[in-house]
Amino acid sequence: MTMIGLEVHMYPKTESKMFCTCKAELSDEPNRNICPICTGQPGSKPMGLNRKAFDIALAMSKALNCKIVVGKKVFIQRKHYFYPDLPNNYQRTSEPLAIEGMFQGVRIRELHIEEDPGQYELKRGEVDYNRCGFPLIEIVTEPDMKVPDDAYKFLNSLKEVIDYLGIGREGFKVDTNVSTGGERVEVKNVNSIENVKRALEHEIERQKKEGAKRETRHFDALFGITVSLREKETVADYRYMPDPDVPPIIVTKQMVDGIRLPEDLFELRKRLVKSYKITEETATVLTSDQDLVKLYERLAKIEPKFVADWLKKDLKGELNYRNKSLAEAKIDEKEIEKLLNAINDKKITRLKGKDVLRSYLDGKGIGKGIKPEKVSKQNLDKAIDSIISKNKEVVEKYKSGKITVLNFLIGEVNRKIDKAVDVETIKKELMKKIG
Amino acid sequence: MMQSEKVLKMEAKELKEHIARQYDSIEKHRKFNAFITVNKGADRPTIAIKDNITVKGMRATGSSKIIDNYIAPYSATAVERLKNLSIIGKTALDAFGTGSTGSNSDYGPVRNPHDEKRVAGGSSAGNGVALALDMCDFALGTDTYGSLRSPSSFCGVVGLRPSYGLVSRYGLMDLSMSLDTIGPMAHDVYGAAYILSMIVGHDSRDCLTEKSKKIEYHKELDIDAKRLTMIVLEENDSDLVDRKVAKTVASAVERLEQAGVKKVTAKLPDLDKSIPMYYLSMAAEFASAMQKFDGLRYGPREEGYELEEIVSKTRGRYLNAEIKRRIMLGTFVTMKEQQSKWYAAAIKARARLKQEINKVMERGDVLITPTMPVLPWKIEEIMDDPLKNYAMDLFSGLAPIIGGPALSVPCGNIGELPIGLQIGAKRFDELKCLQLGNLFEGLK
Repeated sequence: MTMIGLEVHMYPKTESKMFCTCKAELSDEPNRNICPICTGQPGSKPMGLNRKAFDIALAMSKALNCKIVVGKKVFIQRKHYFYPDLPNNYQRTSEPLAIEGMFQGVRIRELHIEEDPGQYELKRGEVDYNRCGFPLIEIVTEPDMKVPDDAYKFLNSLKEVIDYLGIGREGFKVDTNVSTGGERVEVKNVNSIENVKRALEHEIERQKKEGAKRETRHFDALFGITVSLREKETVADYRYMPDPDVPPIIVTKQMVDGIRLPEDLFELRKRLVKSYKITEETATVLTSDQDLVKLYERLAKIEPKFVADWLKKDLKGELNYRNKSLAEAKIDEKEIEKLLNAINDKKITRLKGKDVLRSYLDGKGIGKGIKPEKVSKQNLDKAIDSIISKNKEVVEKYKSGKITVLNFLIGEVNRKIDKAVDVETIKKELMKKIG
Repeated sequence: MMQSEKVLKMEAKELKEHIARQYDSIEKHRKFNAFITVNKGADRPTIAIKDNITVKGMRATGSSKIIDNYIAPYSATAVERLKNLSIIGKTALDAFGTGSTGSNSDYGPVRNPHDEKRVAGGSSAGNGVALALDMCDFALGTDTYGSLRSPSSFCGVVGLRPSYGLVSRYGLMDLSMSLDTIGPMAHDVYGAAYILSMIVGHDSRDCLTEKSKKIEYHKELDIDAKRLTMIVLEENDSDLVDRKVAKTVASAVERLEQAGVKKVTAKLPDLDKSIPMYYLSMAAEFASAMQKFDGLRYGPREEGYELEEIVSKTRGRYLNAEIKRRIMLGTFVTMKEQQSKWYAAAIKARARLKQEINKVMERGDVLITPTMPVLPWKIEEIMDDPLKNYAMDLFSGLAPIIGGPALSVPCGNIGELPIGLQIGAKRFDELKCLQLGNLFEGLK
């Protein structure tokens, strides 16, 4: 029987690195965000543990329904091995902060925090320490998954929860353990959810053909295969010992109580679908950011389906374009409410509303934009006539069967009347005139 | 007025001549191997910095060839906090602090200023020599398990190991991180107190420093002798201590008593067990700290086809025998199957000793012992006998084990060779050490 276990490394969203004040930011310029501490200069000492990273680890522990080790001294350990991307030739990694959890039907063995090494370019022999010292949270599961798709689903749900809570950066690094009945094989350093599935599929097939011995393998994403790295017998002793320069963490009840999680993501989705009659897919988009779903629940009274669709497409689209989260955009709920009411009451068109939203996100008030600009039937006719006479060739194309050019004409009319009439009406009137 | 106070009050012209004489002495006494780097152009009272402490832009070798060409890109916090002083140079030590003699420097054995055939004490050996031969006014040393008190004793100068957590260790190259400290050395107690006042205080870059009240130690040295009680150890006069040393210390105690200091005696029967405890836990921490010196990042590099080959060839060539001995011991005692037997046992023994010493400390204000149980040995005598060498640390551990302070002041001579009196106190009670030391200086 196949058993799959995962060691998932997530990047908590922090401003600075784990043990120094360097920005936790990657850069195109190698070794830009570094200091004597994260490059391990002789004589340098780690600063106290990054509190934000620690709090996020507690939040994850709660989200994964783990038992947090309250009252116990948790030591920051040194894990010794020689590698160029590791400035001290040891990595700092904490003892488990939480144990015995359960998430999406998979048991969680433990969760701890550690620091990320730098990036070593083997061919050029160069090291970039920008990433060195980034905080990492490692989540270790029991081998409860049976097929690659189980791992895929588990990781997807994990990603959704992290996004919903807004506590992680893009990307995972995953080590997988696979046994198909024989020895357990570790496949290390798989860097996306998609690749975890590919690596597992390949590894299971391979074990069926070649059998399995106790070893560590590497996943080659380019060829979609796993390659042997080392056999377990030669594995180094990491000589774990508490770091004498960092005091142990004692997790208190107050610390744990201080971390409050919002409603459970999966419960919340079910509730949204049921109470607002929106689709599962829409609910998933709305819950990709807890601020977004909060906003939705406060504004849904305007018209649940319309508001959901607007948040999902217009607002989220615009935020994605600007690469901002809702919180970062500093949106005033009252202003958005005004705008949505105006659209819903047909005071302005949804298209015009998008312009208003853009200028609002650029820092302008919403009030002016939603002054209803009524266009009389007469003026609409005038605008349509003018566009038809200016675009005779296009009109001919339409008449000869090229229906798609109609969108162009609608757009032109729309611009002329400043998007004051909804698209459907323009289309109707336009077609009447062209025939 | 003590020598340090005089220097701080010198007129410009007088100071200039004084510093010129220091440079002359450095030049004249090169065979003592005190300095690794000399800084030209000093124009204020001078301070020597032990070469395992970083000064931005200056070479910092830790006295080990493995980082022979390392230029520190940052300054230690204690160095940043120095005011109105000129750094006259970087001084030699037993490489990375691995020794109590000064003979284990990769830049030549440091020689005793009073008898060049003998050791200077260590590891802050260069500082001891530089002060004794008037090459500087003050010095910044480090003390893990006697490292600045041993040379203070053997060279006849003053050195203070501060409480653990009082002075930031940021910029101090690791030996045994749970014990390492940075502290002042000087010609007199006033000088040590003067430097200490500058360098103390919390530092976010050493998260084990305490947020303590700032004291101007040098302004509070006067005290009524009758207000102090000294604890005198019976072990001061045991067969582990040289007869002449024991006698000199006993006479110092007598003088203090006559001056009005109250005396009580106490016993520490497990004192000799502290030595193996120290060597086990130190080696474990040291082996971990030394991991970073692999030839890839700093210092010279041996060529090789594979990473492992480069690392082992570089370490094989540029780490000296004593460093290798400690790395091997440290690696052994932290191996998975050995940890509980050795490293964990050492940590336990340390906790027990700490209790015992603290209990003794409750009986008075200061604890009096010899700084070193023996007179400085001949250099060739101890080079190849590590065990004999380690035995010199008998009284050195009292302060580190409880995280407390200890001061060494000269208390007499046997022939040309000086002897140090060690004054310990409870954690963060350095003022009492300094007050008693200052009182003792006044008795001479």
